Amino acid sequence: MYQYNYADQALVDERVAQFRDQTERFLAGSLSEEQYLPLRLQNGLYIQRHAPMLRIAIPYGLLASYQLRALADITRDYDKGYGHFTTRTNIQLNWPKLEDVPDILAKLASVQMHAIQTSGNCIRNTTTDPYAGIHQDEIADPRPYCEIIRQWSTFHPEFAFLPRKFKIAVIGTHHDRAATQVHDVGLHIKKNDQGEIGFEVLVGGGLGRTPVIGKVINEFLPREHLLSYLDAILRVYNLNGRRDNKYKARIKILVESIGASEFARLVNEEWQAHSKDGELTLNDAQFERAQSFFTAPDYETIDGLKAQSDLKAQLDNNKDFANWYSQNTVAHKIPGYRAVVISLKAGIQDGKYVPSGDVTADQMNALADISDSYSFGELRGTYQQNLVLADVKISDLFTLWQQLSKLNLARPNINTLTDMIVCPGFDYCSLANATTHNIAEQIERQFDDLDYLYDLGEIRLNMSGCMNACAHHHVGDIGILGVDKKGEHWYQISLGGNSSNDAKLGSILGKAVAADAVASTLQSILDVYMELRVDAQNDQSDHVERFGEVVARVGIKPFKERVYG
Amino acid sequence: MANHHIFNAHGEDISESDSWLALQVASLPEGVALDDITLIEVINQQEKHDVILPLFDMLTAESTDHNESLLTEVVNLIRQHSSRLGVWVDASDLAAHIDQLADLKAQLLAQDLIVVVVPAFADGRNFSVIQSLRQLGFEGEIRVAGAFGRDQIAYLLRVGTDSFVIKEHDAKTDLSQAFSALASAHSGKSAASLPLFANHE
Repeated sequence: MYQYNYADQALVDERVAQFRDQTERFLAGSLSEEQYLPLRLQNGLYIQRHAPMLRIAIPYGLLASYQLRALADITRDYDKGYGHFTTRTNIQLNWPKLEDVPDILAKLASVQMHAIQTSGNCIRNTTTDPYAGIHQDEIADPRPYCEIIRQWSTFHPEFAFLPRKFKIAVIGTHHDRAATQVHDVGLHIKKNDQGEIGFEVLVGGGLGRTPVIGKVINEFLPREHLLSYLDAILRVYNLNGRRDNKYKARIKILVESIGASEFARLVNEEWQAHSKDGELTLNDAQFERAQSFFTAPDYETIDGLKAQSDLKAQLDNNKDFANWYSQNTVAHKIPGYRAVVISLKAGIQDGKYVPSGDVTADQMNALADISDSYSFGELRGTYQQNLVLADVKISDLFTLWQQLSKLNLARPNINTLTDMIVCPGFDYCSLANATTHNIAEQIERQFDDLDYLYDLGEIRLNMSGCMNACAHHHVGDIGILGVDKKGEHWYQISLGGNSSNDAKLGSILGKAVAADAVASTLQSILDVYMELRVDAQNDQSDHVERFGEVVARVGIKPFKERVYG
Repeated sequence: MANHHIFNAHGEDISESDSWLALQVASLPEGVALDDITLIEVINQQEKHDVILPLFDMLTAESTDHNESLLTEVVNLIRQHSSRLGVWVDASDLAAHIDQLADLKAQLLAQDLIVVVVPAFADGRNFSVIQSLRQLGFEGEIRVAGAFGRDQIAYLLRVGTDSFVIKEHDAKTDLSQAFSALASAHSGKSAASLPLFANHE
């Protein structure tokens, strides 16, 4: 994990001092609301329905145990004792006081954390694959490149007042677990025939009101040009992106309006004329230095056969553990290790719905201890609002499962229907049009049979409380969008979206359904899926046709007929 | 225009020693210079002044093939009666013509001063405009005027600004932090200046 040096630490300390001054001037009335707005946003501070919301950066999702303990302290001391993990792998506090924020930032700075550029019209937190560094088929670890981008984008003087926000994602495997095709810039690590590392560069993806899949503008950018090329993309966008209408200001609108090839030409022209081969060019020594922070931890040499045999006995003896193992653990390139996904989708606990991505201070402290004991003191956030322990010995899995179970963090529902991405919705967010938590609760109550969920198989349900699409409803197998109709909350359903390699936007099923009919409508949709899918026994293979595949094959008509017919 | 001050890159008020005057034209925005001067004054006064002209009028005058147009004559007249010449330009207008910047290189590089007028606080094109002028090789003074905020000064300095036109009201407040903010931040111009690589070359 990256460790701050003197310069990094000075920078976050200077930011705290700067923001303290800005907030004091605002509270004293000498800094206008208009000018304070972008300044506080670039420190992750929104003014929400009940209180300010502070979004704290977790760069490319990587979090150390001591940082999680500090977050626990902060949520206790300044908030209501919990935090909310987001799809950008950041964490949000929903109840801080404006005047406390400089102190919160100071506390964050003491553990190498910050809220820099987690909002506002600037370059946001770069995201990546939660399994970076542990996948057998990884071309290269994306994290060193993410860190280089983080440093370059942090307080970049030219790109702090862009037409609109700007999000970058980097992946190092073919399989896309970071939704790169719906990012302003997606970077796919590639290796060419000479064995050199570079990037396939996509631009202009995004969701929100105008969802668009990104376009490739460079099939292989040698890695030394990473920053100079990004510099050119950002300059072209900063100068040419629309500023007259915030809903048309994202880079996707520019790319759509002039075409990807013309955009690529402009970028190339800017790059060739100015930044290419200039001082932004990176060299091998710099890459080595960046990589030195992401070396493999001290893995033990494990007797794989014995570990597997012990594990098999545990799995055979305990169905709940076996469920958790098969749903919530992931293959690791080192024999005897697996990655563990901690479900932050606890569902109904003590009769009450626990919002997706929410973690209490007690859970944070316990998870910090657990990560120290079982995963080299590190955790990772995921796009699906869960956490990952990346390096767990399989001999520790049973004990770990027991500990997580006690914390309500071992629900074996990863990649099932109830592993929902859900935004905070109207209950918290001042942008939202409709509530989401009550609908998620309704879905949880309707689909509480684990065997049924397993039978449905891998399926992604994403629910946003407005068209800003924070929960990426367009790219869920099933997307739910809350809308307001004359003060009533209604829910529009879309089917067949995908955020991974086969990225596509879902098709809208039909007119929105009433709040109390969402779960029953989902049931109708899932019934159609179960009836139409081609299962293994029919197909002479072990492949079960997934939800998105069925929608792609039959279209939405059969679903529409069942729901509205 | 006297209700403004000029600050240098170190945050020092240099209004008293600043000699630039903006030529009075109908399109002249407020706060391009501490004072303005009419064409008649430029031509009639014995003393030669440092005069700031509208960039695009200046470019039109200087790009005319046959130096015979009325505008060219006027600019030549101003030049003869001036000590130094500078230009002012609205950042959004220059951004709109950014693809022609290379064609205008010779004329831009000949200026002693370019005043970039920021049309709106949140309009970040001015940062790229200034950066582009520096990339073009402009080594003269870049001054920022208009609707920029004090909290943008640190960023404006890093993209290549030398001086600022600041309203009287703000000039009287303590601006030291605005000029020294984020002292450790990089300029965006060199990979070696990132914290990760600094001191490791």
